[in-house]
Amino acid sequence: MSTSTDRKKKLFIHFIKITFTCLFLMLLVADVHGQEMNKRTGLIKGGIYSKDRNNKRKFESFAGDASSGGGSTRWGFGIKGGMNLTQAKPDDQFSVFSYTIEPEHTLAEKEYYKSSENTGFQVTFIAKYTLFNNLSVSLQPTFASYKYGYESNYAWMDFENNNNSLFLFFRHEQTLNYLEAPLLLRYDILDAPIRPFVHGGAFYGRLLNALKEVDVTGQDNASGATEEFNGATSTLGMDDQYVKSQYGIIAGGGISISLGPANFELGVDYKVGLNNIVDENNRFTDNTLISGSYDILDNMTLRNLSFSMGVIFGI
Amino acid sequence: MKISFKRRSQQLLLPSLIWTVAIFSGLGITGCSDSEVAPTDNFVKIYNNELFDISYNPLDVKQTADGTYIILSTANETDTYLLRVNESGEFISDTIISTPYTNPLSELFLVNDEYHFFSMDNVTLSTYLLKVNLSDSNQVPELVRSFPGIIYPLHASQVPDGGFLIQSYNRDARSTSLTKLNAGFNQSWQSEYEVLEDVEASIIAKFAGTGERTLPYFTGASEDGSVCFLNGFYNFSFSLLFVNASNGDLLGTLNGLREETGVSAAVHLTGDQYALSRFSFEENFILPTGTINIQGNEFSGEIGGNEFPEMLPHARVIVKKLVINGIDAIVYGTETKSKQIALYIYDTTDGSLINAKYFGNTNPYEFGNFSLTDDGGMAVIGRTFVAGRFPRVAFFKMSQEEVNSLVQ
Repeated sequence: MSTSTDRKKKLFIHFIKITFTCLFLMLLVADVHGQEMNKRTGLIKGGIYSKDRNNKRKFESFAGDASSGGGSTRWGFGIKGGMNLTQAKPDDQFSVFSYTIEPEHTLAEKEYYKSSENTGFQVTFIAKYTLFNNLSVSLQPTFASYKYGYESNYAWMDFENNNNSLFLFFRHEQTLNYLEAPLLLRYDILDAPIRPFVHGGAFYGRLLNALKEVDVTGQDNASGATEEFNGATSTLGMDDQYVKSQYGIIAGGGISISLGPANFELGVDYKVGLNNIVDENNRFTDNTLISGSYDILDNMTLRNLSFSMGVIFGI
Repeated sequence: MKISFKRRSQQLLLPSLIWTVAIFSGLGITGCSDSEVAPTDNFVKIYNNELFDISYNPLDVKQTADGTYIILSTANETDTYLLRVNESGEFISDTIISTPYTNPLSELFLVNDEYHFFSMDNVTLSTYLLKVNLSDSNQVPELVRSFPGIIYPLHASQVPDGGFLIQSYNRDARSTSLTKLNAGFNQSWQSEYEVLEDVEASIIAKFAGTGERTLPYFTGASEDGSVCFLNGFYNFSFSLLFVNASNGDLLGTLNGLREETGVSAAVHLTGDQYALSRFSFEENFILPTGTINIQGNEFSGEIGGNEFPEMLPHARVIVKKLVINGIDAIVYGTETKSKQIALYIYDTTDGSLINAKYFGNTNPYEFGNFSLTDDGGMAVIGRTFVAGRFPRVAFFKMSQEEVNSLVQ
């Protein structure tokens, strides 16, 4: 691992520490502020009455509508879900094969699929807390299922007899299931029933499990005729091949629509993983992977674009 | 009551959120310390190319002073193939050595900080000593010496005095020959042991890579260098012979039964104790601490040992005495019926099996050799059949941590 990568990691650890410390302090301040405000507010069915600067009572929905802020503490809880697209970003590439002669027909390195081919899904629980007027903080525990894939192609040729050749095509599809805890600071741009918003923050994820599906096809020209074949698809557990933690930053936005006590939201988020998710200690420990499909994982981070829709209710 | 519940919820939720943030931030920070391992510590490499009709069969791997590795191998059964890879196992260079230097013997020997190996002349069948030229990017070895009197060289080993033993076959006399060279590669003595029949067909099968199996020819010496041994044809059978190291006089034998029963590997432990493996028809036995009367005339089928049904019939076996993590261990390298490379690790003191380690899966793997590396790890080489059909060199590098775990 290069020194610059180490420095980047240490910087990010400091960044995470500072981010979480700031958020922690902000929540503490908000808690004290909120307790003070609660003394001056009343709770009725369906919402909260608070007093504005002119000492007039004002109704605020339980939906946690930040636009109606007014400085009171309000909670919103909800759920959202949707699909995501993942792009694996290999930093250092590794291969079981080392070529003694430069290959002409073989892909010497893995060819990663574009994110549009790597479709996963996520389900998120939302806990939102309004700090100030249009500013809120939310913790969004998420079950996220990411997929990414790549292919490796190999060829063997008889250069004296072109009728003798073998081509193998390996398609590797990985599924990584994480329990994530994104912590986001959100700003609602307008005070209106239909409000755009932006948010950003950091996320931390724990790997729940990882699976790999390997599909082998090929063309064998060595048997006197061309034989296309489809090998069996095999599924392998990959838990040991990945580190348990993933962390990174997240930014996104969307639109929120107030309908009665509920806020319906459509959003898009972009996550940038900042740590290598592959366990380098175990790269060469899986006999089945190495010897069966000639596959070992590259060092990589994940980029993920997620689309979701959901609903938030206030308490 | 309902309002009271909500008020209570509000009171509880914020502290809960604060604690959640604190816990996850703690988890996040501890989770940042993900594992890092040097790419030289452990790796698996298969040295592949797109050639359809070439085969490689590795014999030995040694680490050089600069951390790179040399792999001695055959190519297309008879040609000598030298492969050099870097400390991470990536290919640096290779060469198929042109005739007449064919059929390299058994292993690489370190002499004066340079690696040497023996090979055979493909026409005269005599023996050459070659030196690996590490400074030559084309890996062309230098001829050090010729041994025209050593015909059909079958195995070579280094003995405690720095000299060498070479087992060969004298087709004119129909006898197995053992030649002792001193550390300067000059001949000290040569002895003949009568086979009493013509076994040249079996000898040729070894060199040509034909026949159902390769017989386990080997040589070696006791710890103090006073006794040498060789495994080869003697008195109509494939037998283990013990000879006087000063003149080659026969001391005793552990007789086989024709080519069907015999010893497949041996290393001296202490006194009259040897670690052996033996074969009997298609069965294999391991005897990690066997007491052998080197001056007797015994039958190898009666020395006992634990049967290993998982071992491939007529498996190649190499046994070495190694110090791993401060513990004296006997390590057997071999191959299994499921076409995996296997290492069996035994305790030298009581002969108990400590551990077993397997390499390879799905596609076939055959055992080549193993050696400890400078970082306390181990290099294991073998042959694999890529895509089930293309014979290629496979290199497994274990880290010190992995090797130490073998004796725990």
